[in-house]
Amino acid sequence: MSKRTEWKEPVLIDPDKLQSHTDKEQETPKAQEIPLQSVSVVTEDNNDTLQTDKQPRTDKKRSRWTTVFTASIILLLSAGVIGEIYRLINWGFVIHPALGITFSALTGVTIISGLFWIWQGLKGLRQLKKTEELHTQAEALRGQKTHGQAQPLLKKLDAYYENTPINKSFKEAVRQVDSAYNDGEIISYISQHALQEQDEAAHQCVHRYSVQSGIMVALSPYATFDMWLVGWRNLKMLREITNIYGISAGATTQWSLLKKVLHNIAFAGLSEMTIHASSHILGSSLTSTISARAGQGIGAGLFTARSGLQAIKLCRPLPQEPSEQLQLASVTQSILRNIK
Amino acid sequence: MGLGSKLKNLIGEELLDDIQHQLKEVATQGLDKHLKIAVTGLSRSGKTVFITSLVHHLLEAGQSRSLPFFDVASEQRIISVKNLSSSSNSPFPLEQSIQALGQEPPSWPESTTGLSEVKLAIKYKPASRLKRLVNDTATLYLDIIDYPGEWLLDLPLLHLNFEQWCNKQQKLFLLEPRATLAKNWVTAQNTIDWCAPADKQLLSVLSDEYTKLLHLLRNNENALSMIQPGRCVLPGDLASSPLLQLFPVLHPPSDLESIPEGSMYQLLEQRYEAYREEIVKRFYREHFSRFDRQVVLVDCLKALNHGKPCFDDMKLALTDILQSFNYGSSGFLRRLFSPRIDKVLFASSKADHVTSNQHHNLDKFLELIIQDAQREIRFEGIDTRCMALASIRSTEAAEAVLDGQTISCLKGINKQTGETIALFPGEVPTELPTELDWNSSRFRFLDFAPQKLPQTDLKPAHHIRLDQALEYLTGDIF
Repeated sequence: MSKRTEWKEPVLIDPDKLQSHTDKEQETPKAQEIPLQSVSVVTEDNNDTLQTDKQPRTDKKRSRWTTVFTASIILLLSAGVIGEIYRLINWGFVIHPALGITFSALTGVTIISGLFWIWQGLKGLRQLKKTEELHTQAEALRGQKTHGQAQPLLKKLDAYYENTPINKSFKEAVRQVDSAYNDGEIISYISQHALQEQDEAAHQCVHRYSVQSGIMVALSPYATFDMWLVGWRNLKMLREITNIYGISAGATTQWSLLKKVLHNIAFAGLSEMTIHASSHILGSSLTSTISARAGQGIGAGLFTARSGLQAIKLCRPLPQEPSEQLQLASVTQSILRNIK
Repeated sequence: MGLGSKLKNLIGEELLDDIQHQLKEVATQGLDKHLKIAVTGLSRSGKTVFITSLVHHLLEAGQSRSLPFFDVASEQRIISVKNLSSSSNSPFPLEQSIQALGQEPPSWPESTTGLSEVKLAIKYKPASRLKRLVNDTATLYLDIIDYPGEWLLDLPLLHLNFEQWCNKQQKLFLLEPRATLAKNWVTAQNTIDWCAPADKQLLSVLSDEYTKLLHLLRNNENALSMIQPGRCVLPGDLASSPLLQLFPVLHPPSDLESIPEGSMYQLLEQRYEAYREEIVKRFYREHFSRFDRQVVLVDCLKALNHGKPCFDDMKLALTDILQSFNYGSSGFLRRLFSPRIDKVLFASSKADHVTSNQHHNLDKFLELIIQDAQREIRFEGIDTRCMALASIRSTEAAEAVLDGQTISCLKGINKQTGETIALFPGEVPTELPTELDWNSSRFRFLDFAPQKLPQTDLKPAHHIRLDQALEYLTGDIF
């Protein structure tokens, strides 16, 4: 009987005593397994990812003098600005009450909109951080043949998508998840099906902007102007992509996303490098036959495409399928065709 | 002598046949893509159901969304799928099989007794923009052959002459439970003088006994797999042919060089050679030498239910069979002229007969059965994968509280009694169980009756991982 501990004996169960599984499945498939196996494991995971998130941030040491300097300069400037605004309003009231009221109303509007702007930016930042966290968790589950561990992640994703347009397609995809799927399959199913429309739209957006910036650079007469063009198009593209994936697009969000995108491009993986190289070869044979300007255009277009695809990767809480990462090749081809 | 027969003499009939066949194939394969999938598996491993379900889901792929992991279908790039089986000499009885599964109450399709063929033409939109530039749509021709699993066991005979085969069988008949079951037949054989002039009457009696013995070995109770020659148990159109009056000589005369003409031994040897040449080789050349991809279906639950002898026998049979296939990388030109298998999927069928958290274990257990074969295939640089799948789902996932513990179990209709039962079938071991475990009540995998497979509006819930199998086998072509 010592064997009892190793395995469970097969049992026949009275069908009437079964808990109805199908009803539950609609909402949360395989919900029954959470308490059994995974709860403790997942919370551990959680802590780990949080810690790894925080560590690099604490590493950044700022000199004390820098902090004092920035703080004092901000204080000084804001004191100056507030004083100046106060004087302006005062002066307005002295001239005529209507002018004073206009000035104060303008100030009020500026303050309120500024606060909203900051709040939006912070919200976007928070969303980006959350996305990154979910992404690492999903990445860890990808390809796993275990059961029941994807459930907590799905719940988190559900909370994440609450009140966004993606909510509906996500719920639909979750409802269709089969009871036989293992964790890896659930992740790739949701990744493929919940964000289908968004992916399509985002890819089209990347495609459009990269072709645009390619053509603009190819046609623009000044090199300095090129830089502005590419930067402008890139920022606009990032804003659109964040919108598509339901991340609120403040300036701070855009800025941090751009930083991350550039960082990722600078440290691109080998696979992407090879894709890049091959597209380069394609481009160079073309440039020699057309013109140097067109070559620059292709380069700029490619850069935009790469940053767009990186942004998609950062905005998706679920990892992309490997085949989707090969999208760059197809974008490259259409840029080439358009510039020709 | 005409030119044709001269050529035949010069090059040899076989080679000429091959060339002719290949030229014909090249002509048809030149423009569109052709893919021939070998569905391999011992008898009762679920080949027919697999093919039926696969074809049914594919035919419906344009309308229903039942294959979420089959990219070309989930991206809705399949325009339409057409069944061209009627152009074949022996079309696969698709309608009957689908009807059997779609009626009330549904039943498993009849097991196969002869060779049949499915030909599908899949029209789809290519994924890459470049290809779409050349052509808006493309067509993939998919050929699948269904045949009785019993015949497959003849393929290893291709590499053996009569003497070698007898030696192999001799070793096999020393193992339990074969030795006990075949006791009478072995003793009857021992009394015979093989060098004596052939007595056809006696041979016929002995071969009848042998056939009965083979049926006994493969029945539900003993469930052995290594049954050779396969046509003896399932003759097809060869019933009562003298070629099938064939059995191995377990104790051959010591001096094989000086076997007299017309002796018993020589007659059996001649029959064996004829069987090999006329039946096995023809079967192999016409249907089995040209494949691009292969699925090996294994019924792991049968091995688990029947214990170690069944497991060992199944392992031996599968390893032997898989040696008969051509493996190697198959490039574009290769595929045109002499296709070789470049992807092999090992699938444990009936994954719906275990709870879904056991699928991973089922994969591991499958690896135990096919490890030798897989090692050899991998050595050739072939991509292999193990997968637990169910062509048709016959159970529902359910859960019950037992001794204060929630366990997931299966709910379905018992195939034998027709009652609805709920069963926790036990856990699939990932290591080979010990002697004690085989006989204990550790697992109890019952056969379930199928759930109804509707004619239209198929759902992913009608199968387990059939879409992933398809994606693995054909995904790179689309």
